[in-house]
Amino acid sequence: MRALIVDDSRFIRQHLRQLLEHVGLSCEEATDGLEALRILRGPSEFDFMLVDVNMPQMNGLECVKTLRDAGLHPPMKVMMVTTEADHSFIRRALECGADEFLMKPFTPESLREKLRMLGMAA
Amino acid sequence: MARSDSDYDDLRQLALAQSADRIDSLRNKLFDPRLKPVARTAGAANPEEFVSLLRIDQAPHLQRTVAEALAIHETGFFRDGKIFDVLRETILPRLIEANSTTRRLRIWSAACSTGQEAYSVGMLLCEHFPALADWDVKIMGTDIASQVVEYAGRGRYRRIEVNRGLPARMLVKYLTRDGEEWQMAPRLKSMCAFQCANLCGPLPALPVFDLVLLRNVLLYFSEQDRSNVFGSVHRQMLPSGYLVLGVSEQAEDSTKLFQAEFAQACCYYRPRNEA
Repeated sequence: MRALIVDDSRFIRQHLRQLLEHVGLSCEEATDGLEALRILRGPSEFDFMLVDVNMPQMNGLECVKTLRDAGLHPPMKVMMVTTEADHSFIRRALECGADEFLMKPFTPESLREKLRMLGMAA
Repeated sequence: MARSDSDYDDLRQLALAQSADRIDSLRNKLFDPRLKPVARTAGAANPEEFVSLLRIDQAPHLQRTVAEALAIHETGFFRDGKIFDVLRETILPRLIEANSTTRRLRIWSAACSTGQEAYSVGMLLCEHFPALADWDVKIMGTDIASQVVEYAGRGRYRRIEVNRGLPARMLVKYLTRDGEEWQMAPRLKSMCAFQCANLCGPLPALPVFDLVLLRNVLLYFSEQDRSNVFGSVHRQMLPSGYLVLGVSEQAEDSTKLFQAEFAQACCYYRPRNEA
């Protein structure tokens, strides 16, 4: 299965890539929402997107809402990962089309559990 | 904290005597941070002094506190998620049908640790069985450690805890954020109650249960203790009840009081009638 990691921090992208590859996902990276949409409009298929919220050019919420409204990769599962942990913000992320939400800081085990919930890990 | 093998041996013996918890020597390194606050409270001047104090002072409260500190409290919301599918699709519908006259349901989360299992069952009931809203439903959580029982009763969880196993849709539906913690909804809090109980000792007054979750605790007990616990649990269950163990645990080696049944590649148990 293929995953797209969207985060403006190179360190975070590398960290997430390691964790996702560890459960058998192959990964591609984007540095913000705009680049993510550009990749998603391309020929590659994706099963999963892990997306940060606060990014330059286009934030994670806009990115998820745009891709859901455009019907890109409809079966793709989307999980937002962010330090934002406000009740109304999480609700908004789900309304925009996110399937899951993980609050930073998180442990590798909590990420694996969320991946299992979404059928992305055994 | 404890320095020698004999210190660790003594601590393991103490835990075994107090809570039937067989602690593997591989867990020695976990002792020190867990015992630090207990030692401080007991007034020990240094690590060795605390272990020496334990040898001299046989005060039950001190020994019990140490055993509680050494117990494993690993848990999480909807842990081993597949069994919750079995509860939702097989066990709970059957129980609800069987109890449709009494409109009463009693569920026991034995070894509940900090309460996530009990609240997970509560959320499952609210989410998928709305007809139970006017039933008499109680979920009882018990654990040997008073600190975790108290924690469970608060129904407040930190970010690291709600991150584990709890779907985001459940989080925003059944918990509200309060400062740095998340608070269980009042309906769930009133559905769940928690109290101390040592599964290997005489149980406190408890109701008779329709469903018992006894997960990920038997693996720490000797075969004899497992057998005794199965006896206690059997006495605490309705003949029509269901018993769920942890994914790596099974009853067959320790008891003939339960019969295995299967659904969705998961195993659960029904009580046999005692001869």
